Amino acid sequence: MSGAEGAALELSDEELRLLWLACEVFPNPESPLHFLDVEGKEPNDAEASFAHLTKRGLLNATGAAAPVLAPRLQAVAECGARIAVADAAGHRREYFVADGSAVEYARFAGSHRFGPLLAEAEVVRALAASLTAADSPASQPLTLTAGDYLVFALLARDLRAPEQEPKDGNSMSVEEVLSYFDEPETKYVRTPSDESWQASLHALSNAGVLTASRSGYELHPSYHGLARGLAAEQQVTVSRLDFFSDEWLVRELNLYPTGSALYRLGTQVDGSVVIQEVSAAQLATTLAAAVGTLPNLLSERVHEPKKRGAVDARVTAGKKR
Amino acid sequence: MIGGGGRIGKPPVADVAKPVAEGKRPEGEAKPSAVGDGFEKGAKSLAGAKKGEAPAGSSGATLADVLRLARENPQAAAKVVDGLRAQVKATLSEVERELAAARQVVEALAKERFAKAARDKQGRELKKRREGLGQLKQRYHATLRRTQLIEQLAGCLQNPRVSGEIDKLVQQHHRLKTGWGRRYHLLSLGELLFGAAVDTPQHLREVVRAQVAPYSAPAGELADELLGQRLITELLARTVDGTTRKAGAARAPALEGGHGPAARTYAMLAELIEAAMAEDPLGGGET
Repeated sequence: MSGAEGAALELSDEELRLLWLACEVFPNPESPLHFLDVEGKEPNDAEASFAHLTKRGLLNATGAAAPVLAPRLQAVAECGARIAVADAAGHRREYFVADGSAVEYARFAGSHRFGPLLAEAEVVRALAASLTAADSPASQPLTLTAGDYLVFALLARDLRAPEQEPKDGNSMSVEEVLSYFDEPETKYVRTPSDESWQASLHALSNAGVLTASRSGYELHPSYHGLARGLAAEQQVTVSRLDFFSDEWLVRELNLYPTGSALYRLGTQVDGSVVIQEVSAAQLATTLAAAVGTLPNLLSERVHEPKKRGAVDARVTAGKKR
Repeated sequence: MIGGGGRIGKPPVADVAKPVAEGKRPEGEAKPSAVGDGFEKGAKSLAGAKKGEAPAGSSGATLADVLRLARENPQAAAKVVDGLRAQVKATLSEVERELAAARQVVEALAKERFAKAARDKQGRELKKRREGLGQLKQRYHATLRRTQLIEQLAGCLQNPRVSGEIDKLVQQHHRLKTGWGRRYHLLSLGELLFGAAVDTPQHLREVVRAQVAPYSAPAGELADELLGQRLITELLARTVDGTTRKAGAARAPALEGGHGPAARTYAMLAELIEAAMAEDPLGGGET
């Protein structure tokens, strides 16, 4: 990519209005440029805007947007999807996607910044570069029920608490764990019993998430980094919103950096909670799954009916298990 | 998307929000979308199509019909999609012709450096060209999006169950007495956010479908906040770090249905989650 093609371009409201007047911008309702259609305003000083844009090389003598600008305008105006990266502090970056290409766009007071046209793979690389992940994960991925997660959280919380004396490491006895849930719940909503909580402790221990001692349970050392470092205020959310008229498709990835490691937290289709340390090698694949254009599934189903039948059988067998 | 990690513990408590019985699950597609290009008739002509044949009157079917067809008879749905792609191509050709004509007017204006006199002279013609092009582009994108939705979902993803369950969920939630009970209830709701069926491919299993009212900027901002897992995941994190926070901005328009039923559903869920985030169910946490 040449220097001019790689640099962001900034346009004023007036310049955008001239481009709109010149039939270079046809924004969809979801586009941040939709205000041009809503306002329907022509530039106050079209001659000055024309002169400025031609001097910058953004407008040809024929009044058409230059090749360095036209594709960026079209991607943002006629977008079919939006990729957003947001942190808990409210900082946000947005890419608008059309035909497999994306442009990072930002609006400031009276000014609009258009980044270069990027392939989706380049967006993934840019997102991955902004996150730090360990070369290899220190802990195994976890898939937990809601009850298991509460027990996990309790043990993690105990690890975060200032050490008190006398104490055998950070173990919590079964009684200590149960004391957090000893107030009974209403009969209208089924919630775990003492037996359920104990079963969660045993299951977590059997899976190597907890280590058991005479005095109780504590988190396995491989999860200490997560337990101590996880902070809601560090949440980074990467999302893609696909616009299909009155139907939207949403994909989201919630990541938590903890020093040199990166964790994904979320819920799954079966209601389970997932905790996964994402390694540097996995990061691009994980991001691509969240922000890439979905494949043509219909074509796959048309051309591979036998394979689909086999998948159905496997899924059915799994469900029966 | 995620590898490894065996499942441990008991399965989620199934009747926290009682699932819709198998076989009675609502159709994933909502009422037919209001479209302007001839998708108007019902499913009869589609249902009667033999495998691989393009159904009669397919151009009159709704989007919901075609999605159902894609699930039951992908070959026939592919023929419908071929027709849509042909429409897209034809509309694009029309766009290119009209754009060429509009650009001639713009070129004339550019020769005069967009001077006021030239704009006064050509303004009406240019406005007419621009409006015509705008409508053509809308038609192009509407058909293209419909085509892409059919191709990408192929009838394999339903609408989330939370839409039909939200009122009961809210009632149940308000019956819970303890912080830990409320936290447990919300963490168990994850499965309702998704519309995956048994045969939904892996890459679609965590995709959320939402039907929204015609797009508006406020609805778009709400979509980011409400339609994903962001709030539930924040709740997961706060359960570990013990922090709390007050509820965010009011969502009155969404709660009142101003952005459609899906936004109302998610706004109600967001209210529950944010109320839960104001307390630490495991006690003694930081703020």
